Amino acid sequence: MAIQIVMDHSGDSQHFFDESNAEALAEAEKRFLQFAFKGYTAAVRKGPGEITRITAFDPTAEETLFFPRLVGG
Amino acid sequence: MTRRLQRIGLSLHRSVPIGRFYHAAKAEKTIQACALRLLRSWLSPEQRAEFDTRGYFDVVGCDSGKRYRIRQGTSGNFNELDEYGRLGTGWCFVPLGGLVEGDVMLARKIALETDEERALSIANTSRDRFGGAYQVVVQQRGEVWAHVFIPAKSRSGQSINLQALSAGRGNCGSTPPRQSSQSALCSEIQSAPSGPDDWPRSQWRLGAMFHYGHGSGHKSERCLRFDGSGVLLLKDS
Repeated sequence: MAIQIVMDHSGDSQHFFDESNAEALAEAEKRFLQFAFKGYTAAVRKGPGEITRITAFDPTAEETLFFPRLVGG
Repeated sequence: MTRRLQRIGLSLHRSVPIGRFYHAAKAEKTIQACALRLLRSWLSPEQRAEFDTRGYFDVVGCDSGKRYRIRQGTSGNFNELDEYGRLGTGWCFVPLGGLVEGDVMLARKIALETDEERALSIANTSRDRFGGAYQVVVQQRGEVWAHVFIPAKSRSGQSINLQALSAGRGNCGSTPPRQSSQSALCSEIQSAPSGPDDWPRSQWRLGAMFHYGHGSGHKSERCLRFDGSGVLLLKDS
């Protein structure tokens, strides 16, 4: 079971999906594109502390994290 | 009831830790707690250990290889580290949407580790204006005598002669000067209502010291002390 985590003001929304299910995968890709379009940054965790930023949907990613666009603080 | 509990090895006072456990579990369900849990799960084992013991963790920028220290908080709370591990330039960027502390820290970590250049290009920094300077307030007879700005990169053991500074005063301004020279430790005196020449040097006192960064002053990790002859000695704490 893979997961997409989206940071928002109310905490983190978690979306689980079965990566072996084509329909669930398509839905996850749609969600990815939706957040990418909004300017979210997506990152996947490959191992402990090993993080990669992705710009295209990775169907093999076990855990993908989205956070909103960055601005100067 | 009490006797029955005692017979099976329990007593009433044991309910206190259970109550604490209940409250702790309840607290764990807050947004902040969830965000901190997520942050901890994405930290490397070294970063997690550092965060648990010290309340901050260091990350390495993917483009420059520089180290940054991310502390708890949501604004102006991460700094570049120099080769000695001292706090340098302060940076600040946040994700939009009013995220909680743990989420902001995690977003910063990921941005610095995966896209450092872009993240810093949008960040606000204290370097542009102040060069990561320390502001030192020097007092005499209970009054503020001068605000002295010292570059953050100045080394331990270097001294600042206020007597020499008083002679060169006159370049007063409302903001700290741009200063990059390592040799010129004390750049300017911002305000000096009256010169220290007539006053006994033993009465000079160090009022306060701030790391001059974005927003309010941070607690400094360095300290200054007088050597008794009007010289401030810069010393790492």
